[in-house]
Amino acid sequence: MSEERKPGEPANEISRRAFLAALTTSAVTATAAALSPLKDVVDLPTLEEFLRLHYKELTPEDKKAILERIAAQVEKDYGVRPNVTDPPPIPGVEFGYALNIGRCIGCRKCVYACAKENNQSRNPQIQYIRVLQMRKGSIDVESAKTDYEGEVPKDGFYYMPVQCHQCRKAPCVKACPVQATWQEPDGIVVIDYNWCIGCRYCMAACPYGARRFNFEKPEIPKDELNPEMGYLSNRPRPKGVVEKCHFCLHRTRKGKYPACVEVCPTGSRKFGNLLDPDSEIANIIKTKRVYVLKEEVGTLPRFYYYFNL
Amino acid sequence: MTLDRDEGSKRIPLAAAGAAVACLLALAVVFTKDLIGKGPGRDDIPKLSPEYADPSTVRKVRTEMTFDGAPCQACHEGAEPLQGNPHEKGIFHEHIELKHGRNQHCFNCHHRMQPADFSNFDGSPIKLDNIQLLCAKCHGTIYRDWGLGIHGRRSGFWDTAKGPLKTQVCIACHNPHWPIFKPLKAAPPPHINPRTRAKGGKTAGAENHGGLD
Repeated sequence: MSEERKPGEPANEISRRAFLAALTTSAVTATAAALSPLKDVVDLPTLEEFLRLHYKELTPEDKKAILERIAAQVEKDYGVRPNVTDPPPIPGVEFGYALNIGRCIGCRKCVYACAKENNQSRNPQIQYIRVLQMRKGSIDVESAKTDYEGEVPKDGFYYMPVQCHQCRKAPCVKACPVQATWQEPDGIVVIDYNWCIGCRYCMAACPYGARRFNFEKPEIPKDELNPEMGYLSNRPRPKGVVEKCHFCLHRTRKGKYPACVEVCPTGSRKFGNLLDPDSEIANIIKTKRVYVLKEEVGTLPRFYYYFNL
Repeated sequence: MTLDRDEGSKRIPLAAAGAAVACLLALAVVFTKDLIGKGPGRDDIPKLSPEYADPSTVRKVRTEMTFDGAPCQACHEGAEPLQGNPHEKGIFHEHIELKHGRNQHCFNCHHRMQPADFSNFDGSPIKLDNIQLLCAKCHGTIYRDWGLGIHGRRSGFWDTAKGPLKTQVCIACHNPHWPIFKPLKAAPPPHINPRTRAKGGKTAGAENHGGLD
């Protein structure tokens, strides 16, 4: 190696300089090839999106412009002109949810009504509600099955659907490093999909496994898109953000029931205003045996399970 | 070994140099042609069937009392209570399966004199429009819960100031002759990990850890 080469040496060697030049050129080629998928990135934020303020700092004009921008984007992507709104919380209303696990038969209709209402990705599949099948006699969530099939209810089992519990002390809100998720005055924990950085800390913090991540761009058939959209709820999500149940706030803040409540064939799902003493949810809490899931973690959910007794 | 400042004069075996460059160029080809791809393809998930999200009730509520299209009065003139063994009078209501607790007799619920109506405790008729009052005769606590919105289905508007609230009567979900809620076929289970085709053995929470199988 250290020997000086003399002119006229064998031709099967090249100079180190020439070798380095060739090596650098081919390394640059390989790197460029490896990075070539970047040229397909189409959802880079526009300057307006990049410079916008946090949701809570937006003026009504800002909000209007953003809603208009989203509507235009949806129309471009799906060929449907959506009605994108941002209904505010109703004063004097705190939403609560109750689910009768003595009546739920585990048919999963709520899961699919929710997916349809909230424009959830069909493939990869995103579902806010997970129905757990458990043996009667205890609440053993760890051994619960989610992949049962066929006729339900099965002998010896009961069913407990789990979705976002809209906790009063929500660990996900505390975990978010950029305040992309927060609790609204009516109790709904919302996510601004344009503010979420996709770090998934909230998913790790949630004791109920209620949050879902868009690992890929959501795929929704054009003919199944629900055009009634809310900014904080069911507008199409970009890739790389977290989403979850929001009590169908684009419906419930306009006075309607959530989609899962309306579809439940057994009437196990109950929804209402906790602050109204005559609402069904207030009556359930007054007269039924109610429990909350994982009470010991201190999240104080607004989602209650109850029995027939 | 001596340190040689004139590096340009150092020689590299052509075979080694060629191999290194060829490796990098091969990598470039692999990347541009996407030979490795993006991992296993996605599962084929069947299209969402509209029936999964259909909010209609499991039964249709009849609006008038008829049998095979004929009104009850066509056979039961209603002037006199029926006498004798009904099975001797021909085959009419045999397809009705009566599995409603201890109720063995039509006239536990149906009115003897007015066959299109139902019978209250004192023999007064209950119309089909108020069918919940008939059920309330035995199921008082459920009737109370139903009135409070705890039992049964509700749809429309929870905030009745903004729109109508729609409630369902007992017989929209329960067959009065066989009232226990019938089993349904469950909608498909979730595809927890879109990149695996493995089935079975998944338990709750597996989605957070890439599946247990």
